[in-house]
Amino acid sequence: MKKERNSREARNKITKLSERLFGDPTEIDADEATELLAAAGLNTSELEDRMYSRLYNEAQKYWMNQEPLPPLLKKALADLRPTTAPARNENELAQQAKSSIERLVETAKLLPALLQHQAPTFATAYRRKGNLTDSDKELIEEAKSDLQRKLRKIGNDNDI
Amino acid sequence: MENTQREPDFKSLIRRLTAFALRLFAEHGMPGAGAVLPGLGISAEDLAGKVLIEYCQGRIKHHASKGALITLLCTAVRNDFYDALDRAPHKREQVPDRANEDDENPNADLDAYADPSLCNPVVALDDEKYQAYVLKCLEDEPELREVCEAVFFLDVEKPSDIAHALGIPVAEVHNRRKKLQRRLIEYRLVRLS
Repeated sequence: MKKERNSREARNKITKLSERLFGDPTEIDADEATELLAAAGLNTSELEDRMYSRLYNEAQKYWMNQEPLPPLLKKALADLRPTTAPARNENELAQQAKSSIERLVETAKLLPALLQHQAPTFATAYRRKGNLTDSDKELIEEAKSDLQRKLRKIGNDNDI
Repeated sequence: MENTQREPDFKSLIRRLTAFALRLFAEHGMPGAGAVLPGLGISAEDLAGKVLIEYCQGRIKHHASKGALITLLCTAVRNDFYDALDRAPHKREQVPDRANEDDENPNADLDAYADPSLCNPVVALDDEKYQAYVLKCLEDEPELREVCEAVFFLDVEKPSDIAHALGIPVAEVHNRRKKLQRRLIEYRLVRLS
């Protein structure tokens, strides 16, 4: 009995300290929650998929017993249904199509930035270095010519 | 304010509930998504999932007059967490004396070798150990430590009281609280990287 009371007291004390330090749980909004999940190493879409699986497993028990799903469970399954799951009706099909097009448009927006690349250049910084023997310079010149040849070849391939 | 009339957004609910559970684990020396209650293998995500299922099944009922839904569910997560701690096998078993451990017992509990203030959640069920752990996490974060010290040692409660005690704006207290929460959750991950 005493042990239980001590445990309860400790819980209450820690809860009070925690809420003073971090605030009420309502203060964690969805955006902040996403940041905290990432800080802990959790991917939100993967988390949602796993939760969907848990809920789906629960729903199966109702289906097996031919009982109607509780409304909140039904709503949760609808909210968390992965976009990769096969569409069950026209609305879902339209939603999936819309998401796919949005993703394509987003990718297309990035293309100009990706295409504006600069051809790599070879910097002959070694020329400022001292204590280079003639044979060193010869080796470096060879390497330079070789690299420039390769760069020209890359440039020609990109033009094609 | 959520109420029974408005249907909850489950995506948001799951994120918020899991984030809260992660914070709870982190506060008790178990930061990171992979942390589980020793001997039980229950993670923050497991606890959040369990409570969410109970809510969906109608076993946890929310009444708008009793406050926000998220508060109710977070309280359920917290209660489950402490109940799980009380059930944890390591609470029932005698932790071996570290000094007497040797190679003769290759199956010895490895938790016994770790710093108990960091790894044994049972010690965190003591508010003084809880305070010590939180302060230890913030050794290199003086501004965040200030907030904790104000709460722990000056017994201030509201953000405005903390702001007054530290001579900083209330908005800064809120900023530091958010940083503190994040710092605690990622604490072990940072140390291990």
